[in-house]
Amino acid sequence: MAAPITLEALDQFRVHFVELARAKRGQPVQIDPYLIAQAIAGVMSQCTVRSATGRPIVWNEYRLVLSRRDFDLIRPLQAILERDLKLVLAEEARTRAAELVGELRITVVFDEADELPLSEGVVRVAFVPTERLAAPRFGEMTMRLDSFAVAGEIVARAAGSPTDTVMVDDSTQTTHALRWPGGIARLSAGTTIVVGRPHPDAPPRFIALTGAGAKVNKQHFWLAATSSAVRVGRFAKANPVHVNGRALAGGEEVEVALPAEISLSHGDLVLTVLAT
Amino acid sequence: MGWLSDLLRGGGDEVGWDDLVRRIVDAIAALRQYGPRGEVAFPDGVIVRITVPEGATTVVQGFIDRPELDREVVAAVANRCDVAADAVPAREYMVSVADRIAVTASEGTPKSWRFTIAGGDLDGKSLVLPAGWTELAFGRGPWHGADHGARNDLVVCEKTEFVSRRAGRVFRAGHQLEVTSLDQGDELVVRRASGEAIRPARTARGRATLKAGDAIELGDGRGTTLRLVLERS
Repeated sequence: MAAPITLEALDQFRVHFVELARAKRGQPVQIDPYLIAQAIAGVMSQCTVRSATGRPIVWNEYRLVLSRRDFDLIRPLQAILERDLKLVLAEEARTRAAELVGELRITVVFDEADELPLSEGVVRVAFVPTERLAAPRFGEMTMRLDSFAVAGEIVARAAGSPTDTVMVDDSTQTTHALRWPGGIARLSAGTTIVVGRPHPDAPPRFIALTGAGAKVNKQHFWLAATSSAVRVGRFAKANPVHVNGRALAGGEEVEVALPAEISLSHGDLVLTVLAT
Repeated sequence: MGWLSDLLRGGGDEVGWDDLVRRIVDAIAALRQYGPRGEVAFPDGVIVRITVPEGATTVVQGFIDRPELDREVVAAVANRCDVAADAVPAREYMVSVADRIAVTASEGTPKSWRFTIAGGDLDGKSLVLPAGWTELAFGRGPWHGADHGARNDLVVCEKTEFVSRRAGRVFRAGHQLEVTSLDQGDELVVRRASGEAIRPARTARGRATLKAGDAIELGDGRGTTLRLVLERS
């Protein structure tokens, strides 16, 4: 039996759902949410990239291309697919103790060139920082999982220490507030949020800094609050960010206790993160 | 014994994929010459003329229109002549009707490709693709990448912000082109003359073929596009 997942290019894998489902060759296979979750997890497990400290880093964007017929059959099952993906990917990431460079995103689309045979799929992978993730568009199934949710679970269970635990639930209860001269926004723990100047096509989970001037980037920094601290990251090409007076380099992130002061573009706009 | 080989191959007026590839490779390989040190040299471009009986033109044209055929030809010529793939001459395929199948190759200059820009700040400008190219990067402005370390071969606009600096890449695939989307993502659409739209980022190969008359549309997601209309001359 051939391997269910084969490497086609550094960023592309071919998935043979017949082999993945352990079906007989030539037998039609109904691609179901569990098989798709298995396929994405299988691809994730083939990522060999590591950080300088040796910790695995896994791709955070996965695009699964199916034949039009397979896509039409799976599309009504999107809700179940999301549920299964969370289970399988959280398990896969936990066993690998992996890090992500941004929000985990999976999109399922059909092959517009109609070249893909039935029961086969192509998974294209990428490292995409959160600020560059495009908003979902019509005609695609998109599932986003918070990167801290997945990575946080891994850290907590791999280390076995309760002090490493990061909030992983998707609670919508607000526990923090981000305040700036033009307004205030509520945050919930365990959620990563992009912050920047108001603009069209803003990503999901975005705080638009009403009243911000041109020195504030459209996507300037991200923040993720835990119960007693906040993690702040400056996007690579964003203007300067200071957290409690400390300058962040492009792409750098820092965790500080609450309350925290975030200064953008050398004091052009000063924000405060508070516990509520 | 020609009748026997014809019979084994299914007759002289029939041609399959493998047979067509073999005949094209034979024809191109016959044009090789040797330099003073024995190195293989080809002309810059070749015209491959394929004649087929009337009933087979659609099938053969269909083979020719598939980029895989040209890729197989390049790999086989490079292998047989022991040269790098980029040393294989640029190819132009022409299919016409005749009594029997024949494949001939002769030195010639394939027609050049040209994009005409519609929209953006360089509206109306023509971009002629250079001779002998195999792969070209295109996007906004002449440079892209961190510290502007990479160059765009085709500058499609200077200040039209919805076009990515590293929008995409075009590849030569025999007598047609292929395009892939890089930072432009789903907002790079190949619009056929028939109106059909294909997003390379949503295909299994990550590429879409381009023929004369097709256009590459670079969009902002809200309906505004910059079009690159492909023409041959």
